[in-house]
Amino acid sequence: MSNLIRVENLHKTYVDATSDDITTPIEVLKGVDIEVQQGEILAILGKSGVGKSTLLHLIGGLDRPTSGSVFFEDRNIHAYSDRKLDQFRNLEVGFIFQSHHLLPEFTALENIAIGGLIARKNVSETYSSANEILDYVGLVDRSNHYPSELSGGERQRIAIGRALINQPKVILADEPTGNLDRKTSADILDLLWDLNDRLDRTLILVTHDHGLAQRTDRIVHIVDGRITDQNQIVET
Amino acid sequence: MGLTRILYSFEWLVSSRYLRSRRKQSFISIISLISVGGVAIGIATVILVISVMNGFEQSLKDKFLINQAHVNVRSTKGYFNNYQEQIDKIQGIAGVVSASPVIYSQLAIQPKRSKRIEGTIYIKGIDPILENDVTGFSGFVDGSFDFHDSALLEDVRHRSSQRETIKGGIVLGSSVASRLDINRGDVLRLISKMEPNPANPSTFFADVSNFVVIGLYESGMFAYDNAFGFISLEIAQDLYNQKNHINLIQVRTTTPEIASTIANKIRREIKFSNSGLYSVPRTSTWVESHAALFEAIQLEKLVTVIIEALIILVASFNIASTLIMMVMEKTREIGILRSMGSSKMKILIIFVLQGCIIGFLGIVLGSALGIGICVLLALEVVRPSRWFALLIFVPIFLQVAIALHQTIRRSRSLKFAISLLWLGIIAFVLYCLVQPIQINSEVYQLNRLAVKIDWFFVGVINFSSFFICLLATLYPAWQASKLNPVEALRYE
Repeated sequence: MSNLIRVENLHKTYVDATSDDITTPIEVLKGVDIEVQQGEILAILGKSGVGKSTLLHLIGGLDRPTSGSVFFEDRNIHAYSDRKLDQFRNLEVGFIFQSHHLLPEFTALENIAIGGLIARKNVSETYSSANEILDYVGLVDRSNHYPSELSGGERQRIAIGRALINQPKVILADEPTGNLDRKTSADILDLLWDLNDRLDRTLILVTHDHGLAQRTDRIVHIVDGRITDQNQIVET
Repeated sequence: MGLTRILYSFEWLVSSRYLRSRRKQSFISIISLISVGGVAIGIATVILVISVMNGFEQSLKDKFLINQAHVNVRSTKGYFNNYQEQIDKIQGIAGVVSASPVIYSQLAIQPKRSKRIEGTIYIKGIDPILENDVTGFSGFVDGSFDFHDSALLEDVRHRSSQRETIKGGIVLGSSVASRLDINRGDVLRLISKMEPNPANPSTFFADVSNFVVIGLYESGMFAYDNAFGFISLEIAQDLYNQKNHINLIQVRTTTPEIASTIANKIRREIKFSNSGLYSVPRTSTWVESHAALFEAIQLEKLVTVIIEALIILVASFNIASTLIMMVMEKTREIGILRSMGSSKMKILIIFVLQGCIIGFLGIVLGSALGIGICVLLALEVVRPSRWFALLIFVPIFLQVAIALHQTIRRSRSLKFAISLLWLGIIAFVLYCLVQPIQINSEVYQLNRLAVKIDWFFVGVINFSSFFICLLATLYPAWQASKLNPVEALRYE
């Protein structure tokens, strides 16, 4: 397998605006190096506040690092202009968050289609793809329902569908089952694994759940902003 | 094609959807509605007030113009002689319809049965046919205006004593006549000159001429009807001892608006003429004659426009605050959209579009309301009474409200039909409520409030209001666009 993503010496420092002492920066990531291969399922494991989500945001181009690089298909995405980075997020990456983060004013179908509309794709083709995705996530009969009319599991399925609309190469999931019960979590994870299996999508999961991490191809441990063990191959 | 692309674009979809936020966010959609209402009321008020002022101005102009010359030409040194040549010259100017000679002065008047002088009036010596061409004189005269051959004149001459010679007929302003209690057929004395008696210097010889009132002049303008009398030009020249002289040339132009241009041309034409003029003439147009009034109206309009612009500015602040609240409310959604690859520019466009939609809806509704009320005010028909309107309106209103409630989730066409019915009801209520406004004619010279819609102004006010609304969107939209997506996603 070839490298899809390569993270080199990534640093991220925040100035905590809510703190009284704004001159003291908080170093969240302290030199992270990771390589992710095409088609791999990678778990980033760590306790709360160690910088897992920050790392995921930087890999997905949602935030800029203080220093270091993220290479996607050997291109440094943080050397991109803002506009190019927006395009990268739109076309190459699909985000799934712990809280589904669906848009409440839009139906299930529209929530899925909106990424295609951002990319200025053909409207009818986008909606037809969105319908296919709805079918794939098993919610075709819910297409005209608003998020408030869906259950937690259904919302997360729509969120997964939304991440797929532009056929991205990598799905970045931040605690995707964190808000769900055991049964629903299992269904959602099955869907994610199916994505990897059938559609060959690379999957990076951020979690603090060891059980979930055990299901992935590889686990990267992050402690206090540093990778402590990144080559733990999970035996299946 | 372009419109379809806009209507199906991501930015349009998001901004239009945010404006009709559902359920939890219904507060925002109510604020959007209030913003639309603010702009609409501002626009409607501007259109209504300016149309009423335009109508008032136009009615006054019409009233002034109905019996007055568009341009008056006077000699600075008193009189024109050889005036026919000057009149011919003026009539040769393009844009001049007709010109008439006038000699006028103020004379003391005394009704025959009165023992004392009853004040003074302006006595205009005119050629009735030429005067008619310029001021429409004959249309305002009740009775005859043939100063020499009136049957009434003959009758009075026949009845009067040998000592009293009748000089001619006079058409008297109706208000003067009623003030002096004079009717057609009565004799009026005009005193043109008084000289001291050499034998007794404390007494005077008065040059008195007798005129028979052959007609009454009523233009509807009190200032005019209470100050003028008309006699034959030749008799007036004789009375003023100015044989073949006149002191005023009245000019009618093709349209009142070109009066000032024609006045300039007249000054040039006669200036370079070295024929029988005593001096370069002075001209005054009908606008200059009423300059103070028209300037006051213009000033009032300007002040009104400034006040109305402030109303629209306040409405635009409303839009800005709506959008600022919307940005706060939608912070997390902005983060989601950014995570999906939406650029800062797209976020900016979404919020600018929202403000523009609010502004546009407000402008369209406000224009429709303003123009609608103007049209209703201008309608001559008698509307049903307000109580009758209420009697019809309440049951229809209830029916529509019930139907709306029942069909809120039904088909679009039914909703559309009910919306139309709703609009019909509003139109009917306006139709019944907006009655022509009666005003005191003694104060305003008009008995009804006239309305004139200036379409150019409506266009300008719509365009500028839209521009103000657009400006109001920029700050909140910019704030939305520069939100950090990671922080926005964490926003609760």
